[in-house]
Amino acid sequence: MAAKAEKRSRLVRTFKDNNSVLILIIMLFVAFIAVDGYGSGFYNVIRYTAMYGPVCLGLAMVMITGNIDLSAGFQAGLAGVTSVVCFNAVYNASGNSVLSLVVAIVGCLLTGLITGFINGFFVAKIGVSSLIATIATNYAYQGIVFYFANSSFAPADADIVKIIANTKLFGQKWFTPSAIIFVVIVAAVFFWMYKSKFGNNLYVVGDNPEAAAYAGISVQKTVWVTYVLCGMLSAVCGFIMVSNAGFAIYTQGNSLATLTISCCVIGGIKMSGGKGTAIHVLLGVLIMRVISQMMTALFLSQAWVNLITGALLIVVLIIDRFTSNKEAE
Amino acid sequence: MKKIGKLLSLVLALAMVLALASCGGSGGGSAGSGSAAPAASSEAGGGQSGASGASGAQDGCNVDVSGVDLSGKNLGYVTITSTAPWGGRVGTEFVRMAEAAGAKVKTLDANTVADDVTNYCRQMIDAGVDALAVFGGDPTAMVDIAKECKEAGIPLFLCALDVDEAGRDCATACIGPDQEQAFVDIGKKIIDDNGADAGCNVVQISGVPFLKDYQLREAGFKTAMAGSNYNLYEPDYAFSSRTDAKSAMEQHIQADGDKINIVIGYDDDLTMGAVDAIQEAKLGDQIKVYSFTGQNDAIQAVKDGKLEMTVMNRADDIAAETCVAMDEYFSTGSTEYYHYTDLTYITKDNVDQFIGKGEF
Repeated sequence: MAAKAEKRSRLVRTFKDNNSVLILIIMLFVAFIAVDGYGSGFYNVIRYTAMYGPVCLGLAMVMITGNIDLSAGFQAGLAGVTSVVCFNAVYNASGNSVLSLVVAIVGCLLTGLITGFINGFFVAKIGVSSLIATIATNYAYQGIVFYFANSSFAPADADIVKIIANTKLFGQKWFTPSAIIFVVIVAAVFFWMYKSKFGNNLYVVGDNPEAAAYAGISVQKTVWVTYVLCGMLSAVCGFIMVSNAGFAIYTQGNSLATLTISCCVIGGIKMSGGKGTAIHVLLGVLIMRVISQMMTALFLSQAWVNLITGALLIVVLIIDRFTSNKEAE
Repeated sequence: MKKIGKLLSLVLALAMVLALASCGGSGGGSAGSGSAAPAASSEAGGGQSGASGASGAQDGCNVDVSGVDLSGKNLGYVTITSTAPWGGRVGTEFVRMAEAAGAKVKTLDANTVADDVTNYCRQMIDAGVDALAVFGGDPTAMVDIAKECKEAGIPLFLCALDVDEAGRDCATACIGPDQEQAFVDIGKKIIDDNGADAGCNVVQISGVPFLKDYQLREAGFKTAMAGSNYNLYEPDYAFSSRTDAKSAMEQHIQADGDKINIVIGYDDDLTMGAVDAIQEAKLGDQIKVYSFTGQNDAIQAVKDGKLEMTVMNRADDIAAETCVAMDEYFSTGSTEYYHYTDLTYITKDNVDQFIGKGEF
């Protein structure tokens, strides 16, 4: 009974005590009212949220357990590159586009699973600091991407790969299969973390790993699984990036490390662990994309973009601090 | 305390979005500011190095923009980076010259993310610009953009980087030097200086192995060297880092110092790293260095005898030629696809006239 009440109160808190909802509403209000032509480019907000959202969700799970994954960007990049390698290999052998696409997706997810497993091995099994371990693996994954990628390379039949991110359902630019995939992933992760015992264990481990161990939770297994999931969700992002662009490129994943952390923090995932849901991540990615699209629609110079993004993060961290104080009180 | 915290959070959030909206106004304005200026008057001296009208190209630019009229045109400019010295200058000069010729220019910087170049190009297409100029990006990725531009009726001008062949029918013009030919010429100069059968050992200091620019330069140099008995070391890639270039050269010196005769640098900034290593090892008399770009410290190095040659590849020439190509397109409805810009070979014979004349 008490556990049920706790679950319900967490769900209510998600919506009630959430600064990110307020920030998003204000942002959208300002964007649509004050920025000329914002509406016509709004589809980009949805498309890029669907693209970067999965990797942010993966990182959020890792952060909830009190760890970090700085290699998520190049896990996505590597998985994207692998998908094109797989696609072209099968296509050259069989000439079958559909089979090539299926193998590309499987290869992509397997890559994410392996990279996530490796990260989890170093952090959960060996006990290396997650910060250091994922910096190291980030270099390694980047190295492999550089090894494979020659400037850029396209799938032999790019049109079929583009279906996932570029098909306009009902003629709507924003309504793509990738958007549907992301919504399904958000719902699945949300309910998995909310309903399942393992999902709840993430919070317990993030709150206090020692207490979790005393309570019979395998901290090692929990952390390891989150890294594997993070790797696979990064791979989903990697494939959507390839599908969106129609090619893989060696810089794919370059900018994702800071972007993903920013999205999670802005959405309300605590760096210290133990807090946050998939909804927080969704809000965080939406906020970042709304701002990014606003700056694009305003044709701001890079100096302004950097300045505003930095200022935004500082503001959110201040808000986060006051929120934390409130909770402590 | 609770109330103060919540209030402060709200105030900060509001301040943030309002600041964003207001700075957006000024940012957008700055992109288009100066558009009231009329087309450049033709007070320039003309000829090869003329063209410095009140609102035209600066001293040293080889392209005459005095007759360019882009009045009333809304132009889009997307760049892979605005912070790299050379690439950034292409953008600033293009915006300055186009605005001086009466255009309004909207710019977007992809901050080295190739995917964002295509994203931002689409943003420009959505914004309905009259013409789109793109610096950098990826030749393969630009194929789709070229097609989308053609569908939207927007002429596409590619600065310093061509699109893959599949997109060439859809792009309007490609502006820049023939980089491959430039390195064929540099190779020939090296052979002329040292003899085709000298059997020189040549160290190659290159930039980013995946970038088309460097691939073209390496291909040109290899072509030129094919007619000699020179031994080329595999290129070292310094990834735009002078420090890494210096370190690569130090390793070569350590391994084969007495055998190296020539260094070819595919970019002045990297070459100067190699020059530092050579000077520190006191091998300046033994190793001849050749380079490309024409930045000020490299020109000074030619003057000081540390560098045999550099080739000035002016960013403002590309910017100016883009304006010329746009003007021609708007006036006549077409323009030739390749607009090659001039390269200036700087050696000890003519270096004096270029001291301090580099763009950075």
